[in-house]
Amino acid sequence: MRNILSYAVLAVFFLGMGCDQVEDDTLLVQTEELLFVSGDQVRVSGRVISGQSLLLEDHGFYLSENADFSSSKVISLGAKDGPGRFIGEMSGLNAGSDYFIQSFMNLKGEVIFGNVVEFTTLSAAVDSFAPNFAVPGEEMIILGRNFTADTRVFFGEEPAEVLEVRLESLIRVRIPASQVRVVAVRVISQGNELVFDEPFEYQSGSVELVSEFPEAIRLKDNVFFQNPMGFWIGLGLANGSEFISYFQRYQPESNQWEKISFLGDPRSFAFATEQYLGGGELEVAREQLEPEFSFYRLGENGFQRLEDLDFVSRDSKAFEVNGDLYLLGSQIGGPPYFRKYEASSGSWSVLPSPPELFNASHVHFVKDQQVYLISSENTLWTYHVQSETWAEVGQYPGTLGLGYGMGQVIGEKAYVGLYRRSGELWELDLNTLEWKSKNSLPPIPQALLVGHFQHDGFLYLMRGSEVPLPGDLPMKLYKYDPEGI
Amino acid sequence: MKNLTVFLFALFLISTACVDPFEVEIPGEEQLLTVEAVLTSEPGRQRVRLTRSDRYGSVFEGLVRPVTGATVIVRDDLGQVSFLEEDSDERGSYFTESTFATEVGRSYTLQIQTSQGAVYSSFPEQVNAVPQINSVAVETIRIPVEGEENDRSGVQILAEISDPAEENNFYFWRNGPSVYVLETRPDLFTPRPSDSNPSRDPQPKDCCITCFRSETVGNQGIFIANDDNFNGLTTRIPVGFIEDDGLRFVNTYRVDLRQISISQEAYRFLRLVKQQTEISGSVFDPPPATIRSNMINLENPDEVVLGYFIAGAESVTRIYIDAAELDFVQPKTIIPDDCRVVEGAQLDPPADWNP
Repeated sequence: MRNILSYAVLAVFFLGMGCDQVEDDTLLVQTEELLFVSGDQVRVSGRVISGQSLLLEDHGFYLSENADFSSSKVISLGAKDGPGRFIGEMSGLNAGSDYFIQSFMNLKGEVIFGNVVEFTTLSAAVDSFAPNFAVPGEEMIILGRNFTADTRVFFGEEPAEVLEVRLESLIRVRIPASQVRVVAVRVISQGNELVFDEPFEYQSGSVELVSEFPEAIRLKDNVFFQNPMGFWIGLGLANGSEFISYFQRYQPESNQWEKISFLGDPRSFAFATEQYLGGGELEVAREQLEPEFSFYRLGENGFQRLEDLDFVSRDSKAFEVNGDLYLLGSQIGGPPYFRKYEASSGSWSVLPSPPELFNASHVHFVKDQQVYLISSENTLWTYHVQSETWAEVGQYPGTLGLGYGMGQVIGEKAYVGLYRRSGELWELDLNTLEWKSKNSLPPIPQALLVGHFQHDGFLYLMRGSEVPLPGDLPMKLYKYDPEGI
Repeated sequence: MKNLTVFLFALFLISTACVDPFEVEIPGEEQLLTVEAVLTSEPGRQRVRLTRSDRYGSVFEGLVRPVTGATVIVRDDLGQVSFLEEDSDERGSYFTESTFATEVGRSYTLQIQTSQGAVYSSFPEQVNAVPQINSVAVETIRIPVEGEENDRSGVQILAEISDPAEENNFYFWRNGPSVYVLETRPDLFTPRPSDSNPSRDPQPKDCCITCFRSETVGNQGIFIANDDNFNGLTTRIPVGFIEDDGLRFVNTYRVDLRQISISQEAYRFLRLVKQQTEISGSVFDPPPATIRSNMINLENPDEVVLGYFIAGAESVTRIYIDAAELDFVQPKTIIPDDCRVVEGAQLDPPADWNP
């Protein structure tokens, strides 16, 4: 009996102690850290801590604007098998508001809550946008922070199409059309309006067809100039073969053309400014060209012939400053020349050679005592007529096409472009020397600029097509408003 | 006999009563996302490197591949987002803009969206202020190598820092770019025989003996500290080790010592990495383990991610080490050529070279 008792005691001891397994009955849920808080979103991590396997009916977070979690929202992540970390996310929150969040788990009908974490949603702010100068339809990127999903963008009063709000910090919008050139960019996020200090500027330039050349010809190698009597276009070759000996003069106020005869020889590649005309070449026999040396001054009584040139001038760049005439060019095979005709003495003088070769194919414009020229390398040069000094001041950003573009000054802005076979037009701020692109003109096949003028803040552009191009393509006069939209 | 029966019965109970089958779970052949990022308050193009780890095996199984085409952002607790761009030459490395710098007091999170659409986020890393290094001293360390006649050696850098008392500080030191005076022997130049020049005789070059070589070498080891033992005190602590390769400490060596404040969690991570990398095979070594990252997959929080996103403040101290001040240097390595042919070497000193 004693033996049986001993065996029994021993067996109970081993059964009771041998398999003693310490059970970890820890069971809790913890609200860990806020991984992400924005204007209308929160992402938080939680963790179920347990020393044993378990099957949760539900787990997640409670979110409320009150510390007592009345009227709380539930982020339910569903059933969970076993302990571990979980992530909850909720959107649609109010920016700049205080919230409370706590994790929970539902185990066999019993809901256990974790610790409460308090946080404040962030408010939207804007940093920058780009580009700050563009045309409608292009995309703009706005950088900032905490943009909510309902973010809207306005250009002035015009709403823009929001293409994307990426990571609450980048908005992609399509620039809307506008009737105003410079507008404020406004971002509205959950009713909170944010306005950039820097305005957005639409690329400007509107064009209007005002007239056609009164004859059905295409001019080439002609001259053009303007004076108080109107815009002059003439001489040169009509349709590539026939020299013409007259001008057509346009009055922008009356929109009328008038034909003015030229008593001198017809010629091509001549130079012409407001007061002077001369040089070029004329046809002495069929397909035999010779330099023309006659030189004229245009006054109230028409063209008055001056003493002939004593040098060959073909396709010279000509400009007037203070009533004096300057000619830049090169003789065929010869060095570049730079000559000045003084109106007061009626004499020519030779000026130091320019830093680069210039002729009529290069664009120039004049502002005060300064002449601006754009070289074949896109370099923007200035020549100061009093100090007779050249300076390189910048680069033309556009394409040079086949030369013979436009240069005009209106106020403090210069307008450059419309080289042959190019529709580009650029604006140069003469104070800052910064370039801005302008809206292009209607495309013309193999476009040629026959003449360019400015009047009352508008550019007037006579454009045609190159002669070999077949078809009925009349030369058209456009009025271009640089500030127009 | 009775006692023997009792003993056998007891043995039977011991051996059978507690059999508990153990299920061995062998990890699948996953290639884990690995994140390496230490962003600091020193403005510059700072890097986040993303790779996929390779499977462990007894044979070479593959390559650690860069994670390309991911969208990587760093966001502070105010919601300011910095987009990182992948370097076209260094795939898997994503760089901030050159003006990026962390701010003391802000916390930062790293967010990654892979080209497969998986989104990972770090836990916020708080940036705490970092004190300047008061002074720096160097000492030579010799490391005996079994079976080798010559010891390895190098320069240990000791920094004196004054720890702020009001907070618990954690430090991490790294070596920045270094430059040293490289001396070669162009007079010993002997070209490799070729068809056009079959001679095996020395053909001395006239130039150049002395150059300045730039390199970026990582620290030999992980140098971290917390201020448990010196809170609020001034202390001297090893912060770096630069191995002497026979070239570096011939003349003058310059290195930028980076002292970075890190979070307690980052310190814990680096300490565990340090423990794991310093396992020597002793019975006292910690068991090998996967060290958890502070990056998590938002869809699958249980996914193992390697590496760590660290954000901290940094103070940089530039030091010049004169070889004449060292107790021991390695025998000079002879490069029988123009010093300019050595990678990273140039004739002119850096503009800010001021020993």
